[in-house]
Amino acid sequence: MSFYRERMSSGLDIKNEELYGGVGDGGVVGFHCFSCWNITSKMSEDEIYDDYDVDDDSAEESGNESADNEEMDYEYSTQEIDFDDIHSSNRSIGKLTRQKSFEVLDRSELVSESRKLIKEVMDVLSIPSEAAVSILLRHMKWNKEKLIERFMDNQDKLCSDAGIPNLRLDKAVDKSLQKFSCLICLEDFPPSQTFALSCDHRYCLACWKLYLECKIGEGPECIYSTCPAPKCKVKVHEDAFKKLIESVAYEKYSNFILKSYVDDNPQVKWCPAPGCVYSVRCDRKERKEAVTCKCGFQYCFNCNDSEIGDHMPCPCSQVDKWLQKASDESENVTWMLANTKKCPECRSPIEKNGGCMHMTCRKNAGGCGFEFCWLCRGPWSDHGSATGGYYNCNKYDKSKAKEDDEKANDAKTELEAYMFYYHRYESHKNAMKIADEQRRNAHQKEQQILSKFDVRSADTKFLMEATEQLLRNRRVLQYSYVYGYYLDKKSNERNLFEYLQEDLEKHTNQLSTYYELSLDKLDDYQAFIKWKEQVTNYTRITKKFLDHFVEGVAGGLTGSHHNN
Amino acid sequence: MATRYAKRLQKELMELQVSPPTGIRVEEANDLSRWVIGIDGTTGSLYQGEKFSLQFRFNDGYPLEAPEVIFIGKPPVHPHIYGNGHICLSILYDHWSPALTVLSICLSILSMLSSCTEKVRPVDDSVYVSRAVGKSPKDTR
Ligand SMILES: [Zn+2]
Ligand SMILES: [Zn+2]
Ligand SMILES: [Zn+2]
Ligand SMILES: [Zn+2]
Ligand SMILES: [Zn+2]
Ligand SMILES: [Zn+2]
Repeated sequence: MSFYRERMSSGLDIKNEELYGGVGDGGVVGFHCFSCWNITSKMSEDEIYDDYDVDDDSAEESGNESADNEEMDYEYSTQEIDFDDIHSSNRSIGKLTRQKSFEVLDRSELVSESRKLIKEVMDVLSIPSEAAVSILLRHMKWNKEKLIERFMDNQDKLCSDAGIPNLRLDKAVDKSLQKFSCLICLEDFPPSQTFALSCDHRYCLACWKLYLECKIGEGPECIYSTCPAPKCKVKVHEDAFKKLIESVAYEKYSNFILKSYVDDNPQVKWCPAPGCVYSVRCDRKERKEAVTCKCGFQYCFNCNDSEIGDHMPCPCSQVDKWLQKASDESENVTWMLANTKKCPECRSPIEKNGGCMHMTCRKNAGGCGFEFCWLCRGPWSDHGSATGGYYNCNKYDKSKAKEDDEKANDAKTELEAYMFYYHRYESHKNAMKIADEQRRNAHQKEQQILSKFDVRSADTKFLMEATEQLLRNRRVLQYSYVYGYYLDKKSNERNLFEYLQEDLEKHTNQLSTYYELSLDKLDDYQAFIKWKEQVTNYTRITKKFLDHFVEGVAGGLTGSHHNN
Repeated sequence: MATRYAKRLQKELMELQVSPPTGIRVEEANDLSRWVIGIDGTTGSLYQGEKFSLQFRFNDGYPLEAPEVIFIGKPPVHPHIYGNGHICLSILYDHWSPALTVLSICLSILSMLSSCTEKVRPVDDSVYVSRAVGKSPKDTR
């Protein structure tokens, strides 16, 4: 891994020098020409794409890029006017072929899936009634194989246990009766206004309706409602519900059936995003990539949690461990955080309202004007490419780590080390929330731009792309600090990891800064175009860095680097 | 109370007042939503000669929901009846059916008393009674 060391020590001073690296060495491929981010503003779009072509060609040579990326590369080199359209549609095709392992289902797809299952059972067992099979399937938690087995084994027992004895549905009314007395409302009715299930417990239609609607009001268990007669175990089937209640209530009932279909099925889960109506089918046992719902939420299918979301590069178990630790340590951490959110120079309280880590202690808010890094509280002038200075912000201080070894049993030091990672984890998590807000507000920004400059709406697409990229980067960065916390403190993997993390963090912060630029600062069309190029370019760059990071963690860190 | 089922309650009350079965009588029903029914320990049972009072409370959900039924005054000493008058009987809770009536509840309680072989309170009586202060038996399960 000498390549990484070399580049680390040369830091960011390298300019206009092309670096391709990692070929055949653990699967980390394709580093970029540094010029594409150091002099971004002077580059035309074509030049940027050319750069990517060169890069990806080298990657192809190394045989490590997947086929769909190659396809994209051809598009990069074309000079179509509506470049972004082709580019993004191509990207989504590439994604589809790569992520076939999950499937987003809407309500109608769930309905047809569950109907299909019912149909299959009807065919196999030669049961003509859909409503009866639906009861049997729900009784067997939608497990078709188990149902068929139990049915073959003892049909009568299964059917009466399930509440549909002899697979009979309704009991026809004796038309010769003059009138019939309902035991619920104690009134008389003509037989035509009554209904009974196979058990012949007959009630008036009005009482049936009130009874079933009352059950639906009680919640999901309503799909297992029994006949209202005391101690009667016969289940109310779907057709009876349909016949006896209003369509609005029936809709609710059908949704509960679908809910049971999803809840009882380990391969299908509801998307955890608040208010989302989709569900996702995912057949693989081990999580590899996140699933992406049609609502736009990207998350780990296994954890299935709206707060956790996707947690690349960490394995699920690590996230569990981390969250457990976070709750164990929360009191200590709260205290530490409360006591450190101050300007490092003048101790004024600092409010963080942008996604960027570049903080300014505002003079108009009584501060001192000091510019510093939110993560390490060091002066901002020591950071980033502007000064070419070495960016040392994602690493836990080496000397501290040494002390760690000496005072291995010192709990306070351990807490400090944890705090380092926790603080960064939290900062990126919050920055992610801001990025999410920016993504939702991108439309407003677009409108402002359209009214201020004479541009086409295609010229503002980069806003959405930038915010989506920011969101992805922040999420990965957030969990990268969990991953980093559990990485062996002295391993080679750690060096590479921190190196990749640093790159991603630095450029993500830069993208944040560019994106958050106030529109007031753009005087004319030229300035707008320049800004657009900066943002577009950084979006692409950080995408590449994100890919490197993810690939690096997936392959390079654990693959052929067990030297220690 | 929903008019539809207010009518049912009227009918039930009238039936009980006009032709009450032996050992069951309406003691109080000025308010349609709260009745007191008197029951007598059946002949040949451990409760022969004893008189008890049951309080029924009906809400708008009746008969789709069970009424709240408790003993008032001195409750019978029985392994399924707590010292505070709460009754451990499944048809009053999970196994309620809208086709059950005040009369059928009274008959169930009488049969529960008749089948008793030893006059004792439930084993968890004191714990339950202190926990259930001021609560409906429907909320303590
Ligand atoms: Zn009726
Ligand atoms: Zn029945
Ligand atoms: Zn969703
Ligand atoms: Zn997970
Ligand atoms: Zn300050
Ligand atoms: Zn810093």
